[in-house]
Amino acid sequence: MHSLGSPPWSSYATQLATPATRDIMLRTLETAATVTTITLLLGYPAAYAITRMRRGHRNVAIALLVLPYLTSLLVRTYVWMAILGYNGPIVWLLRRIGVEHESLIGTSVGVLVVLVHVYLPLMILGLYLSMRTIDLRQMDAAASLGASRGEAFIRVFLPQTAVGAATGCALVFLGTAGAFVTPALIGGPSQYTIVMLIFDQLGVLDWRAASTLAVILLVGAALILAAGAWLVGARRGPKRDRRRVPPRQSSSSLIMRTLGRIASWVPSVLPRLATRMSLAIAILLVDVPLLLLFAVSFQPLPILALPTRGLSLQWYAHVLANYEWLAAGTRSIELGVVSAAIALSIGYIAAWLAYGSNILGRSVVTFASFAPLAIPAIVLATGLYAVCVSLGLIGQFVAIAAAHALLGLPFTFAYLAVGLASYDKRLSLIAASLGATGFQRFRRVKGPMLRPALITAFGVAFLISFEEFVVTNFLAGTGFQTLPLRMWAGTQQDLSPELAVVGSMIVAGLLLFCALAAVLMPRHNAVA
Amino acid sequence: MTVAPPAVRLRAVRKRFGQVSAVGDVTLDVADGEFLTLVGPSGAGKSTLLSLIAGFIEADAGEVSMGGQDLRHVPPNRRNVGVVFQDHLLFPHMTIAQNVGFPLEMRRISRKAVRTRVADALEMVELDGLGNRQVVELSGGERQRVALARALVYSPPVLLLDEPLGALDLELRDAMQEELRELHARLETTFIYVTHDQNEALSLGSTVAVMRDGCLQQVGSPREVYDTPTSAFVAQFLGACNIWAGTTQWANACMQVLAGADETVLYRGPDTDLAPEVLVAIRPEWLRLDPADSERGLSKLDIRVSRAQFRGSELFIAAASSLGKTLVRIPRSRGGQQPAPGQRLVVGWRPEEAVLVQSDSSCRRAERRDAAWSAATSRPSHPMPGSTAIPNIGQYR
Repeated sequence: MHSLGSPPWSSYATQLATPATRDIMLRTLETAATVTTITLLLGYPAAYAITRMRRGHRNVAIALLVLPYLTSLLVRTYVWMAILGYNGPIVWLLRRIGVEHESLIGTSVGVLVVLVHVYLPLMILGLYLSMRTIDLRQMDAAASLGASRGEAFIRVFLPQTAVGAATGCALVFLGTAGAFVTPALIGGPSQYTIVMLIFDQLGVLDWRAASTLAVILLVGAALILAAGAWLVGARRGPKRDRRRVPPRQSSSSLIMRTLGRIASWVPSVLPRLATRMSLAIAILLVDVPLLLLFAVSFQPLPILALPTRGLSLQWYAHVLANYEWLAAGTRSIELGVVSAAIALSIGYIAAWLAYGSNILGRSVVTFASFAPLAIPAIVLATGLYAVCVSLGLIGQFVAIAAAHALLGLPFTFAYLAVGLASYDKRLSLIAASLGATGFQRFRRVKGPMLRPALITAFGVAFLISFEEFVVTNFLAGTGFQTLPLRMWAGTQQDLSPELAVVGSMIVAGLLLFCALAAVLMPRHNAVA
Repeated sequence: MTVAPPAVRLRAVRKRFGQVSAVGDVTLDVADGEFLTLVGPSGAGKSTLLSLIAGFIEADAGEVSMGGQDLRHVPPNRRNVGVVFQDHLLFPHMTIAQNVGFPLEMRRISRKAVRTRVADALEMVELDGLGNRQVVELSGGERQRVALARALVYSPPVLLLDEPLGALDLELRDAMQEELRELHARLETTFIYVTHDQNEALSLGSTVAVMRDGCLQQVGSPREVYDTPTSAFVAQFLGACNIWAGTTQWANACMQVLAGADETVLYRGPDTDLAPEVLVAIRPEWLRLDPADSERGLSKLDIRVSRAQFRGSELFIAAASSLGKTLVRIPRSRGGQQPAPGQRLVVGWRPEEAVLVQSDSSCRRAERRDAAWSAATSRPSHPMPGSTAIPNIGQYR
């Protein structure tokens, strides 16, 4: 503990001077950078493969990528522990091919795999939103100008997706740097991160050290984010009468030209294969825990393991008979809808302000909107706890919904900003000239045009709230129960297959809902 | 006699974007039912002027009014104008019929009436029966026709068109021009049509307004602006034109402009008060090849052909002469000889047919000429005889 008399910056100096802290910090940033790179390299071709798909297939692919968000990260992490652990299939496979390996738990590889599993969908969604508006005939135009397919891709397609890629990278980087559950459960003490350090400082009630570390993490992340934004050309002001605001500086730079040359030698069959492979790997990585979860839910024994001794439905009966699960589920859905609506409204206003204002305003709004993501959930949780205690809001629906909205804001902002960037503002002008008022313009033209971004933003915000654990745990008090809280209680008590059953039921329920929606919704593309 | 207020009235309208003056001090009246073409090079401020009328942007200074109503602070959705852009800007998530019906819905017109009016509008642009199609199913020309139907379905008194045919191929362009002309004749709508193509401007418009650097250079009937351009810029923008500088001289009770060592008479007219040095515009087709010696009062000029261009119905000759670069356009008959480069020829013209023009270095205001006045004078004299300062005259020597 520092004395109150020491200057305010002394704690920063102390923290930065400690080699152990520096090492942890560097490792945290290194992990974040690695995960960002992997998700980008894997997500880019996967997102491209999605854009080339037919409409129906596309929706299925996106649904598959979003599915895991429906089950609590805690539950998924437990499944990953089963997969990566000593008795898991991977170690078994390694053993079969002659590589002796104890377990992937506690290794950096294990942490990377699970973090990629967690953050890959965010990257792919960001990229997909920026790719879907690109007219692929531009590639034909480039071909007519003498570019090979590879060169056309590098010089024409790639620069236009820079905004989406940067958005995805920012979300993944900040999310990974601030992740707690995965490194704590999969990595353990040997893979110590700065967030775990903060958690431990909070544990020993060293608030000053914890907040110092949190601020260092925040500032470091902000600097890297700013550098990234500068690189993709976010520093330029909005242009009038331009369809899109593509970053163009880089498109003629030496690097791009060289890359284009190299790409022109790649045979044209290879990319198609590679993009589909990437999508397959991405979906596998994202959905494999769910499959195992399904399997576990039919386990006859009261343990969370693969059902090697026959199947049973007894745990389903168990869950359905238990009123607690239903109540928690209903409460989670209510929270999700309310908080997503709040996050969507604020995110839209923020994105609209950022898109329409000058460079300074844009940076401020962007940073403010991304801030909740950069602050580790544990720090945010303690801060919000302090606020709610003083206002007497602990255990109140409103407070928890507002906190969830705060957590969803970076995502709604990011996806809506990408959506707005690709919206041709002149459509609003023409609608105005045809007599539409501001509200009518939004309802009839801008809204429908932004629908994919709006739905994505709302869906992601809903799912963030639906599976949120750390902040809810702090703010819920004793009486308030959500699904993740109930699940956490389950993991603490007995690790019974009830958890897997609930996870499976949520996934099955959503699949049913999607199928119904697909059948009931009128087909927009029906041609007379 | 009471005069109806003009369909669109602009008074000293100004608009700046940061450091750049996009529109500077434009004053213009567009009469009811007129077809005004607004022509100028890119960056002249034509589209900005259109946006100011549509209300997409607000003027920094000046007055924009429509049918006598001041439009300051009137949002675009309450101005009741139609707008058509170069890229059709149809709403991609709506069918053709929904697109065309959109403005009627905004005006709270009953569903039944919408249906019939949409059908009528689509019939007007010859797309009847395509109402259920999606935007992507139509060709470029069809989309532009839908955009036109959408902008006309609510019978706005004024239709603004911003290079609507710019993205279409030549054949389609010609056909669409014809359709636009017919539409304009049939409806009582005022058309304001922005283009950078001078041929389109001259052939479509009942009035042509030439713009440059945010200012109107000249406004008048197509014949007026082509035959009696007021500035070297207008003369050369609307078609090839010889611009020669000369000195003024009073002789034989009329004003003459002389140039060159042999004192060729470039211009002869009744003007009285002219600067000592002026510019004269002579269109290439006003020059005649090998004029007969018998014809009196004809100015003659020796030229040396540098290039002769075959253009089907005519020959276009670029030549050098003592006055500088000389352009000649002559009708061509079947089997006629084509002059070879280096060949010497003589051309002649009637100096009474030449036109005095202003040098174009400055951005000037152009007032609308009074129609009665220009009808009364068979050959309008120089519009601004009072002006004496002509900068940059040297560039035409």
